[in-house]
Amino acid sequence: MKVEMIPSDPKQIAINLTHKMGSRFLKWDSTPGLNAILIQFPYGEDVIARVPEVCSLLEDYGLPEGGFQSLNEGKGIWGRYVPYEEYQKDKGCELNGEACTYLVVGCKVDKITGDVQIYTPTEQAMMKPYCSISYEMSIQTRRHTVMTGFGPFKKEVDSGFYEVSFPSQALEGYMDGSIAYQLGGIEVPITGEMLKQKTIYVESEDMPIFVSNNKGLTLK
Amino acid sequence: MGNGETIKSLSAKDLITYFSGRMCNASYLENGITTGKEPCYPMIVFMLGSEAIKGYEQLSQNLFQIWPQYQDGILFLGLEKEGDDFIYIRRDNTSVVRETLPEENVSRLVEGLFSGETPFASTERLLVYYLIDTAAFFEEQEYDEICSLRYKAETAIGVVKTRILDMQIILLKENQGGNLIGNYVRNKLSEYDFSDREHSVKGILVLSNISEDNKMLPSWNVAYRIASSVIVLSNNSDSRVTADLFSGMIFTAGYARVEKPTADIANVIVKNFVERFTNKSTGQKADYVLQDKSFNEKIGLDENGMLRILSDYIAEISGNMIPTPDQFNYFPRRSDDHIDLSVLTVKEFNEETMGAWGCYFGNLLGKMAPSKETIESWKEEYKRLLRSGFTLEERIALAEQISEVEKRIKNVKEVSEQTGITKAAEDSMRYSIVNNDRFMAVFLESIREEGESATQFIASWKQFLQSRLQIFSVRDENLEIFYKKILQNYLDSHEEKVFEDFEEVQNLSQLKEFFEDKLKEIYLGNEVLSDSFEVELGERLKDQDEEIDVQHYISDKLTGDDFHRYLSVQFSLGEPVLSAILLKQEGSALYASLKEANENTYFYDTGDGNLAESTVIYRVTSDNLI
Repeated sequence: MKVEMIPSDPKQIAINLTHKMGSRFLKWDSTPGLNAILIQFPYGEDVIARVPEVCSLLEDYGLPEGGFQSLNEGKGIWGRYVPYEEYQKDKGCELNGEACTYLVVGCKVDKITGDVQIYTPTEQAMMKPYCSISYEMSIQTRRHTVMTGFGPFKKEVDSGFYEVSFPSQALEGYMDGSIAYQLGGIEVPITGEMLKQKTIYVESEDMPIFVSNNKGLTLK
Repeated sequence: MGNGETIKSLSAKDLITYFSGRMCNASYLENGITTGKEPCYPMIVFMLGSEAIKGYEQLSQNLFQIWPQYQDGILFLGLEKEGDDFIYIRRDNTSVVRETLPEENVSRLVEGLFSGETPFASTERLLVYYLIDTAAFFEEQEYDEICSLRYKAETAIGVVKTRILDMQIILLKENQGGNLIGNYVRNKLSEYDFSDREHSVKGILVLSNISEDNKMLPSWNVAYRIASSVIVLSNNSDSRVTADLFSGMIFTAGYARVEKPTADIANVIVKNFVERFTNKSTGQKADYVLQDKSFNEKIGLDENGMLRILSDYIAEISGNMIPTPDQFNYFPRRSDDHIDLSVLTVKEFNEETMGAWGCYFGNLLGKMAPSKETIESWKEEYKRLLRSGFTLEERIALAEQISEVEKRIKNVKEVSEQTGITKAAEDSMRYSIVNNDRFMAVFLESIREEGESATQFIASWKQFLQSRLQIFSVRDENLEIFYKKILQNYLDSHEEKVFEDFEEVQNLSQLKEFFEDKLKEIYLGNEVLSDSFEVELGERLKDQDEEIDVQHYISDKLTGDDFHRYLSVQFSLGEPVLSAILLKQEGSALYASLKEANENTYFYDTGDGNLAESTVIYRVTSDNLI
């Protein structure tokens, strides 16, 4: 399958990508009948400049239908194909995760060869084909204790660990290392798997200090 | 060795030119600046017709060899049959500049000769020489047309004729068979009326390409030598000589010279020196290079099989970024079990830390990415390493076998997941880097580029060696033997260093620099190369025959078989009007000896220790011309 960029066409436009805070939906305006691809990038990237790169990735991975698919092994680029029929229902589709930037591009797919042609995205005054969604995350860090002893001699003692708790709702599309903690002279990245784990343990007398490496992700 | 300017080719002839140039400059530079007599009066040389204009370089070079300080003081103007403008020709450093000059501006230039900027001994007169070359004439009347250009020149000068001493110098091309143009000119000259003060010149020098003894000149070089000798003799504070040459007559000249054979000396030294290098850099295949036991070291690998440049870089950059065993234990775990994370394998560690190691290591590699400047410095360093470790042929072989070389420099084992995490850290770094084009491309590129430039250099080198075969052999056996000895003496004490330095040469510019340096060494180490012609000749002849009298030898050359008169005439030319020898007088034993033996000869001090010339002027009567 070939994926290539073609010049923009004023009659084939997908534009005005927006997100309402708190919702999990992305909406955009589209020329009737125009299929689209929604691409998720790390927060704040120059997304239009990276479209050629995405074309190569789509050639390797294929056109992801029905949901978002990682296009570069968890390094922050995800894609989803949104045929017009699907778009028509709600004038958009569900987003993948937050603390990122989305771009919508119009495309046409050759029914026989499956080759894809992506219209070069354009900006029109206040209407843009991309939008950035920030996210606030609360991480709880506390000293972990355990109970030792029996019966009346049971007591709570320090385990030597810090217990770190992540929010219960999953952050889809999270890029490993977007959050990290600094401890003992190194910076340890937080992976998506750790977020799914919900609670992790760090053996240390000193408290790990959490930092965000993603401008769209604020720690509170 | 510096890189030098880029040059496109180099030949043995170029080196000969360099070396003879050094020797020619000796009289002005290394022997101290000496000048001889200077011109007495301001002067102009008009070159009438395009063929005469071609003579500018030769004539001016001869004059400036004797009068080096008058390069701006002598006016050279060309005039062609077509067009109204003159051509103002002069030297600008080493190049010749030609400018169109409208007729009305000629007198302004002439006025400048009298301005005092160039200090002539006298400004009472203006000496004007008209050069005519009949070589390109097809028809007789071309001679008349060219002669008529003289009137245009005279008008343009803007100086009254009574102040002018003018001479026509005719280079007469004659044929041994039918000689229509030669005969026409001779007839015209035989009718020349010097008494017509308004229209005539005050002297005419005629030089034929066929000498009195029927030898044909291959070019006008000798004629230009004679012409410049006559100009030098005629523009003279010795008024008697000047008067003789501007006394209203037609004359011709006999000539001989002895000079330092700088071209031949340079030829022998350069040719034989270059000969010593014929077995170097032959371009033979060096496919053995990968099998060489010291290949790994030469190609820059360390004991771990990684390019040392990269392992040094890793050590420098990642130093404190690879976690210590204590720091590994700061990584997060799934549970509060007290496990020593630092003793786990890579697989176990990644599993327990929920992929933290994979992410951490990926970030670390990202931070290691070298900047453009770093990559450039690697390239320079690596090329230096290749040049010092491999010959030109070996570098070509490396480039030709690049795939094999690539395998050898990327021969770092992949880290197994069963490796302990602490060891895996550094090993993984090495493995990831050698398999990353961003790091490795520059080294492979260096090998290719060095192979390519070695190929180009060997081709140029072969061409250079070939060029020595195009040089004619020197016929003077005495000279050849003498200078081969000089070269051998040099090599006896310098050979090792010479060949060592040769191995450093990487390109044509460096090759030129190398040879010029060594030739300079030979020059500076042998006084005879900067000696005047008579001292040099003396050294050389005495080497062969201690009894030889050099002064006598030179005197014979100037007056004997080498002396020819350059016009064939009906009857004998008779006694000369002037017999002159032009040479450097100061400190010259030759001058002292010649002066003693030749009472009636006029000696002119040229200040040039590179040659001695004998010029004898003969009057040519009308009946002798036809």
